Amino acid sequence: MPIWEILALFVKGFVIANLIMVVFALMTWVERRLLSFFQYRLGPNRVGPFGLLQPIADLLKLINKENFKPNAVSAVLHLAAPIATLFFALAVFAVIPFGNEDWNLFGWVTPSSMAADLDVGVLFAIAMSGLGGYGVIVGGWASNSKYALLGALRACAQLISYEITLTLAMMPVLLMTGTLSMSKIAEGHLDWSIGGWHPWFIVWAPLGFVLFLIAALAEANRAPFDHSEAEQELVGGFHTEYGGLRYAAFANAEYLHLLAICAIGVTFFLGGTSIPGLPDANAWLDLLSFTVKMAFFVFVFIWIRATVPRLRYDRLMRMGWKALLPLATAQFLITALIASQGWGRA
Amino acid sequence: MTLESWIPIGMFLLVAMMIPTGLIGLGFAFGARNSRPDIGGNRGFAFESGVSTGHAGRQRNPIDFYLTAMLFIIFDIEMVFMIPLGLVIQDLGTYGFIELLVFVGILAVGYAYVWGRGALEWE
Repeated sequence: MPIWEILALFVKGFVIANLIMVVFALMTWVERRLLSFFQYRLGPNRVGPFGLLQPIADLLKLINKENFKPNAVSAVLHLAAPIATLFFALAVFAVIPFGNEDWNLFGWVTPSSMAADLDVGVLFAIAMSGLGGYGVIVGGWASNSKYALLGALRACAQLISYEITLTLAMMPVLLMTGTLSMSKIAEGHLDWSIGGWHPWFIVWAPLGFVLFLIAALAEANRAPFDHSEAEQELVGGFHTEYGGLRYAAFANAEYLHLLAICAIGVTFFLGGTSIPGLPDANAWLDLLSFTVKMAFFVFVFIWIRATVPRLRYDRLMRMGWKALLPLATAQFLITALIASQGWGRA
Repeated sequence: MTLESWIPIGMFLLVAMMIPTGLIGLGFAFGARNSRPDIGGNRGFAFESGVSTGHAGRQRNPIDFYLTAMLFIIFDIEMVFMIPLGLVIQDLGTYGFIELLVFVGILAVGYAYVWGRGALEWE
């Protein structure tokens, strides 16, 4: 591969990663505003129009914070944990297919708008989001504080418990598409039809979609499953001993994790970039459709956070192992029957 | 799949590494300095809501976490076997489906045993 092509790939990765960071910044604003509206107050509306510049003000404040390290921590691990967590959260976006069309930028046709169309994209995404757990447990252990360690242990047990359900809930789509490439999965629903229609996989595996949503909430440490930082019990959970930009990196990673899972859910269950009744959309419409679907996902997650109280920890684990796991297996077997018999293959 | 198809991933991971290190680096470069070094070590104690810190944070932990991790490994290995089988199930047809049922059946026996022994209970 010539050097300029590698350089172009670097630029593409840079653009995608930074766009995602902008989306993250906007999402913190959207979440705070929406939560405020749910609670009959206004939320941040002072900085810039509608408070849109609030994330920039927050960043400037965090940059000015002292880069503080408590006495008893393991210095290297304490620093490495937030970096690793953010790195793994960002890495998932390497295989997210924001669009399958080629982009025509000023006469120069770039490859499709995903950073890398890996043959094993799904495995890569699952692996990277799973590795994020290391950042949590290392951060909690390095802090050398009771609350932080307990928060990290809780978060880790929760992450691994729900990771099984998450993967199992994704399996029906893999059964029906027979591929691990994210871009092929996004178009996979075209191979299956009910009465001439090509419905998204949410129609083929509705239970799988619901289980995916629940497991995604737990994976992303979102309310009502935000046990790693249950503030009434654990002060701040695994990042109790963190402040300034080190803390920001953890918060950032958490939001990116949520966005990544939303994007995976859109790719798997909501037909990726496809628009019903408009088979030949261009790259811009594709990106718009993907964004709208993701925004819907994010809104549902914020909505749930504003509505549902936190589950008790033992009930959370019991639900994961005793309810979600058998249900996900049931959906998996039903879809396996459909796929192996080829019912509804177009 | 050649090694070359991993170059885009490598480039993205490079960017993904630059962003967090850059962010933390900003904190080192522009963060406020300690304005009261004379207070010394007290401000650096672990946060315990004002209660005396007591002994160090790393202590014995409930066994449940360890148990969950072990169970996770079993079921995760299950997923590792399930993914390749799932990808080819359309080619295998009914044979593949029965194969899958046998596999899930064996797993279900183990799952029922674990449930019966109370390993899924939290106190």
